[in-house]
Amino acid sequence: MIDDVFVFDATVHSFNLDASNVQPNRWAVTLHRAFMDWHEQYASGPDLLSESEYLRDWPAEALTEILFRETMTDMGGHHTLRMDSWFKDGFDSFEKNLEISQRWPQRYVIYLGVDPTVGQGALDELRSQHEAIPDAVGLKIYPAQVDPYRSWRADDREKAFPLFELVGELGLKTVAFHKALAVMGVPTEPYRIDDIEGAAMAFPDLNFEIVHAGNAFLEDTAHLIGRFENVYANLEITSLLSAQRPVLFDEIMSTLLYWGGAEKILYATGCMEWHSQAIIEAIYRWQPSEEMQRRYQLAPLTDKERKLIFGENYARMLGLDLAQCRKGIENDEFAKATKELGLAEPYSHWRARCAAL
Amino acid sequence: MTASFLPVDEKTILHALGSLYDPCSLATSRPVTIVELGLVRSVSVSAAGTVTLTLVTTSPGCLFYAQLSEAVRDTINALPGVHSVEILLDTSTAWTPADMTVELQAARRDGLLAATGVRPRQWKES
Repeated sequence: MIDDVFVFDATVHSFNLDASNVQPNRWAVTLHRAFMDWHEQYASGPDLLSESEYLRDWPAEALTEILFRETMTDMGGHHTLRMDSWFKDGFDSFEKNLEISQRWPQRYVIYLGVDPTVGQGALDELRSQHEAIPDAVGLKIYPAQVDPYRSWRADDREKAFPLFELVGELGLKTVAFHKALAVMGVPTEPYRIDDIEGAAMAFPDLNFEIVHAGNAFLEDTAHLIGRFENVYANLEITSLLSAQRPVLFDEIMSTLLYWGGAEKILYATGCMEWHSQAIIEAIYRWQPSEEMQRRYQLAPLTDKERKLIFGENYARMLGLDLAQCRKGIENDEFAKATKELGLAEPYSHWRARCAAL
Repeated sequence: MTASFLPVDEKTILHALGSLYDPCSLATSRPVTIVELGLVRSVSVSAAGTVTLTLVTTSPGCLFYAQLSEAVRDTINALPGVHSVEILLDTSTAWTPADMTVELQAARRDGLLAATGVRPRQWKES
């Protein structure tokens, strides 16, 4: 909570960045290295981890300590990732998600994860994951795999629509698409967003999140959230720009606000990839610049709009009652510890764990 | 040069360049001046009347740069208080749509609106 604003991070991760998890292909080796480079590029001071601290298999407990003891985050959306052709366990395994769902159900909502490029197998696996985590709220998917390269489109009636039909049948509320950030060394086309409208139109009862919204294809993304009630801009990694590239963030947020409105933007960070406390504070302070206010005829952001972006939109999209969410966490172990000790230093829990290994 | 020589000022130069249109915008029947488009990165004038002006092109491979820079030179040379003109090409930073004036960006957005039929927050109408 920052002031009285509920902070619901729509995308959080517990990556397995250990070198032993990297698939033996050139795309995987490059991407693994890139994660370290990105962290170094965008983190500084206590938010910056050394290579020996960062390139490890991050347990769910570490993510949980960071989010709820070191930041003002109240709840998070944790995704099973199926980047199978880059990382042997998919990068954020189903087992971690299962653990999270069992140990801290008051603090997380769960996204299942499958690789649609395997066809029928993805449907079978989704059913199986849902049986294990019946309270899951969403599905996270990637538009392409490598080695060999293959991609798919969300508006493909044969390859994608059966998956979305199953998502609806299982009662999941949302499908989160990794978009805009093209994985290195592969074609950009699958990371464009022009396939989302076909899915959004065909499945009006499902919600679709464009994850990393605005990192690329900003205008297209803004138009899409402006046109479709069931499409949302998820700010994972985009939010990092608030603290590190404020001019760019200003343009992205203002464009999304103008076309989609505050109701269509979901706060998300991708923490633990970067520590999220500085991001929370930067977005909380953010106002459209005078230039953006002129360009888009925007008024300064109101407290009401801030609450929407930080959590109310996400809760509404998932059909959650935020008052109940608040009640569920107000006296848990993290709330008690934070009340007693205050927020801990960035990554202090993780550094202590690394030192003990 | 006499002691009464009064060098031209930057505002006068930009005003004059406001009459020069970007060749590509003319070709597409949507005329935009090079100032509106943000192709003039910087202008400075020395006490001796030497004008130094930095241009950028919308694309690194712009075929019209020679033509454009000559038109800029001729326009500035025609102004009183100009002794000489030096034109530089900015190759270090790329032009982006954000370099356009706020007014041109708004007009472009309105044109896009008309072309696509998308309205802001259209989802609320459903």
